[in-house]
Amino acid sequence: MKSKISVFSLTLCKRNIKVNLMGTLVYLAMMIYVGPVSYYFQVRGQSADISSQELTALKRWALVSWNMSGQMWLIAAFAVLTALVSFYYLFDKRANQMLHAMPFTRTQMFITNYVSGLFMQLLVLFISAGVMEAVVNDSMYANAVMKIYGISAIATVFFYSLSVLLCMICGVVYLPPVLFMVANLLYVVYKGVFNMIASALIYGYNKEVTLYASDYLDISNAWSPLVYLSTVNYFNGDEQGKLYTFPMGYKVLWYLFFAVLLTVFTWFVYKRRPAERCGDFLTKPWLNVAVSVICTLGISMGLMMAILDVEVNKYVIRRMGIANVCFVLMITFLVYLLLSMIIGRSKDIMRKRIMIPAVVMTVVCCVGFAVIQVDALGISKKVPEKNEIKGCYISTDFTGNKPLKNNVDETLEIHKRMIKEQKNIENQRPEIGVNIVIQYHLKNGKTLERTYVVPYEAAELENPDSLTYLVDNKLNNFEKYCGHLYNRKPYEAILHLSKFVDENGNYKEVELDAKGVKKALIKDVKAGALRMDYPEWGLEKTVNWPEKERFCSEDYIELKFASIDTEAEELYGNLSGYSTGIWNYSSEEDLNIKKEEVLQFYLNKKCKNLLKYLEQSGVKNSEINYQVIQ
Amino acid sequence: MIQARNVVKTFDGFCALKGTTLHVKKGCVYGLVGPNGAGKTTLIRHLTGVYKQDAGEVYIDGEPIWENPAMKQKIAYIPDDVFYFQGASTEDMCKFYRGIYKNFDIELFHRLEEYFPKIDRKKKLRSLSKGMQKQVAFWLSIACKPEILILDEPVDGLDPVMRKQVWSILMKEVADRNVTVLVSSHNLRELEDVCDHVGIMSEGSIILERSLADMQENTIKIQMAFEGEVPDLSDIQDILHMSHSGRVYTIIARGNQAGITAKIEAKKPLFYDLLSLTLEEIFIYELGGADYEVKDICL
Repeated sequence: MKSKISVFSLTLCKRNIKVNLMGTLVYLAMMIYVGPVSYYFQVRGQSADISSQELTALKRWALVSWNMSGQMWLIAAFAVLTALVSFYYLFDKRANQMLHAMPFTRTQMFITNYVSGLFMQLLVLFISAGVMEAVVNDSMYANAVMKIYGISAIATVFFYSLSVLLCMICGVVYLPPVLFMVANLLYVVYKGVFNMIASALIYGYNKEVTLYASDYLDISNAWSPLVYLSTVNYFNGDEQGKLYTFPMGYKVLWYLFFAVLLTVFTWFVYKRRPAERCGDFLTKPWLNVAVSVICTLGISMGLMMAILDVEVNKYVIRRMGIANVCFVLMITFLVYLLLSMIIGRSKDIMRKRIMIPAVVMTVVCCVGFAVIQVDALGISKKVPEKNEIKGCYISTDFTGNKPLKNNVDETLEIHKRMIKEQKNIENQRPEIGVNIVIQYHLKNGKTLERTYVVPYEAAELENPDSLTYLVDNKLNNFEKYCGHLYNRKPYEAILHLSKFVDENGNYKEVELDAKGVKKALIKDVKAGALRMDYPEWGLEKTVNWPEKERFCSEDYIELKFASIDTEAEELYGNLSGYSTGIWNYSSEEDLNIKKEEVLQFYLNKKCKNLLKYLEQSGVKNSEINYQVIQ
Repeated sequence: MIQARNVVKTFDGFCALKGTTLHVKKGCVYGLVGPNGAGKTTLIRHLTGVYKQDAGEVYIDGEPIWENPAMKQKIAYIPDDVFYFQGASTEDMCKFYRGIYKNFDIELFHRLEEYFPKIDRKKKLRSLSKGMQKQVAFWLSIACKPEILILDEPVDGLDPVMRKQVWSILMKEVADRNVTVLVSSHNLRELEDVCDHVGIMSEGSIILERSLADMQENTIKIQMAFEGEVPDLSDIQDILHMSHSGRVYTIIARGNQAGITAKIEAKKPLFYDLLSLTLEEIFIYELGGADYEVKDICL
């Protein structure tokens, strides 16, 4: 009969606190630095000469700009470190032997070390939160600060539980940190690499690769806890100083639930952890297979991604497809054998235990790649039914790739035409292409997105049956994208004349009456003299324009409107290069001061109304620098 | 007091213990001997509850040792390679042991200090030599006042004076408190002086387990010479070793001394002489039967 004994050893706890003390003090110093100290220098240090309203705004921005990602990585790093220090004896043969021969149960050792390690970390957060509340000293933000530290505490419990579990399954001290990173980044890395491979191989499929999730709205990133937790407690604020926390923040509570499950599982694992495995990579032979498979898959996918990255052109990728797949599969098989040798510390790989998983994994990889290669799931042909669609958005190069709401029927027509012309598009290697992204927001809450590149060449534009003609006709439309400016009052119009350059190389600026310019512009747009244009299609490309007699100028007019469109902010930064037509963009000097939208357009000889208006305003036609197209 | 029954332990397909059975009585000093790789340390780790056996049973005082802190309270274990916490001094370790072992006697700890005069209690243990670290291990273990002492290569690294010192402390503990000692060592001459029971281990099994007196009584070395051809000795069973130098024959045999003598006398040797065996000789000749004999080397 076993004697009853406490599950907590005070002596062991004191010992653990002592060995963790130095690390904990460093951790506390860093947490105080990234939290209260950083905040203090942003806000309190400047508070002497500013009004209370400005101080509120400063506080808000200091909290909004809090480096949560950095704090989360710090929490994760110290969770791993504390776990390693608390359970260091699992990696030292002599310590392992001595402590397990002492009068402790494994339950007692686990609970004591786990609790004391966690206590030290939570103590740091508790002190940091207290100091932060004292520094902020504002009841308006007390709740926000508590939320930040509450989420940090949950993250601490989760990361620490995960780290302790990894300590249990590893036999060498350097492996838990490596596996911690693998466990935290596995999902986003695999998702990113899969999307990249699928985007290269499947027609129309194109998803952005986000190895580090800026797409915090994607709940699936929760499978990569460090990434998700780095973005989940996102704050935003309004100008009255009120803070909004990201609504999905409450889902973080699930991590607490999983942390409890992990802890119970870890205790179970520790009770069965063979002491003799100390010094081996992993404490159970089947874990060698699991880790080898995960690492091999990562390496294979990375290799495939590298190949596809080199073969940028889909034309090449499609023709190299089978050769690529065979190469990757061969490498997959060999990498698995190599990893098995390293992890198992044995050259003897011709064993069933190694060969069977190697073959199974290679076959699974083969099937996986084949499914993507031949688009067995029919992803490229998928078009939603009209009754499933809640809304459609199309973004093109014409609009600076800004998604703009579009008619459902028209979108479906374009999309179906794209699918119909798959072979034509894939077989062409056009010099100029227009990127088109179609996005459906479906009634079931999902989003379907497809990306195509349509050839944009003169011959195609002249052919009314061509896809290019259809796209140009439907999507290159000034009124559709800039129509909202018709009802708005411009406050400034400036003509930039390139014939007159000052000593600094700036064009001469002529101020015009904004109202008059707008009136003439609308007339010219309606007459077809000006159109939205493709920014990469610079002046040197205009030779392809079907209207041979067209003359473009280097001179342009900027027509400025006070912005009421908050979405226009997103356009900022999209302007680049020359335009032969009209380009719509906005700029803002400061988020708090002024917003404006600027319509920028180059003149050409067909702009009769504008030219007439310029004459009336005192700008002679001869002063305009036309480029004559041969 | 200590009992292992049919203990089996396999490491990655290699069977380190093949149904090992061992029995150590209370108050006995048991010497566990065997060649390198025989499984002595593995067996000791099972007896101290570090390893869990794949099959079989390990009992201390009638209770399983695995996950049994009450039984572990009775044991002090000194491994071949002792461990101390990073930066810990003898005093720190003393505090730690005091918090863990209920019977730790701080007065005894202070009294024992005179036996280890070269050790500074405040000095970091990891800065001490291996031998001095071993001395501290003895010091702490004795202060725990254990009922069982399990020692794996205990005097390895100690100087001859300290060896004698340590053995004398141990023997005093056995005499005063009836402590049970299980000691594994390759120094058979020393074991011979302190052990009353011996277990010889080879290839994961205890091949011989007896009191030292019994063992020495039942294994005899006979030197003899015959006139002419050597007669048939097959009626003497359990001959562990036989060699000759000219007409002088030496045999090591296991069995009753009187019976073997009578059989030899019946063959009318010119002369014969009975010699007693040391533990080292018994070890060598017993293991010779287990394919572990000393080979004559010709280079």
